[in-house]
Amino acid sequence: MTGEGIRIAAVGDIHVGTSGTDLVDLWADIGDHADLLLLAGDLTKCGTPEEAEVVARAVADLPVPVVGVLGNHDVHSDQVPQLVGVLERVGVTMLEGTGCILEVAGARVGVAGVKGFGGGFPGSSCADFGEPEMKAFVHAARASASALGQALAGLDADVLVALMHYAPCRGTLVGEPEGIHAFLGCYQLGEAVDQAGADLAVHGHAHTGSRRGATEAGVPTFNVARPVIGAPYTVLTVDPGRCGGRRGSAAMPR
Amino acid sequence: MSGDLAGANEGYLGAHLEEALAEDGRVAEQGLHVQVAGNRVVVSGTVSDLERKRAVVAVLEDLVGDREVVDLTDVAGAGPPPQEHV
Repeated sequence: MTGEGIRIAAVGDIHVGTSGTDLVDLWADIGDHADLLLLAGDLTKCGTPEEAEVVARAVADLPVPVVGVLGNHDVHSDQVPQLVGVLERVGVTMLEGTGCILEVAGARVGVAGVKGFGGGFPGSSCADFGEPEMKAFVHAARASASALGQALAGLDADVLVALMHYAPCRGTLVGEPEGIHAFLGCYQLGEAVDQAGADLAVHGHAHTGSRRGATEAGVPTFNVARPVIGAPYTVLTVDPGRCGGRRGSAAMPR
Repeated sequence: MSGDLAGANEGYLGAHLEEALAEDGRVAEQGLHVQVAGNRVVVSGTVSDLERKRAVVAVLEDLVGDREVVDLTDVAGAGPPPQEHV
């Protein structure tokens, strides 16, 4: 932590294969820039434990705590437990409907995370109606948002962060074709962020979206997909003294 | 998806190729855009590294027969971290 606040490094959509970019080099200086690192999903190319091993080697010796969620690429090979195990063995805290508290320079930073899912946003959202496949799609989104809300509510923190792969608002999707917004996120995630009074929301998944946006209640939201930030990570500096204002006020979305 | 798409209707070929790039494990990127114009297949978007960029071209060339593949993809940046104050 600097005099300015807590420095949260964040990146998603690194899509690591078993060869190629050496993340060890790209993240080598992270201790100079940040107090913790958030990984916003799509850590691997196809979701294999072998790919996760490459990520694990890159984070194993970092001087900051690392917290992550999975993305759609990470579940592609149906090996989620193995993949999570590889990352947790090197000390990464992997979240899915869960949260954690990190003590950073005297402040309690709470991070709750889910992968999230699609479903769309007001005006073009999907409903729990019709075919079983459509109902299952909507149920998955609602369950994920509910899990995020519960995880956020369970954290007593000075700074409360919601970490997702899918987007919780439209603002960070600007640049993506509107026709695929329903596959990039859902408003229910934003509703959960707002109801918990989170201070910050971070997500990935939208490779041609925008870096900054906000939920309906105004929670600052950052799309940290690597193609969007154009760097190995971005740094979000948060002043704990300015956090917590939304909590306890039942900040409901419109 | 598999098989040679060289004979596919041009109106659908771009969609087939975008799906191929997502589904082929050599690439596995969903955010790439493929545009087909006559004998040219133009691909754009951002990939993780140079190896993935080469794989994009290889996958497309496997599928489009004699058409020319024009690679306009970018590799994700490795610049200094951007700073945001919340």
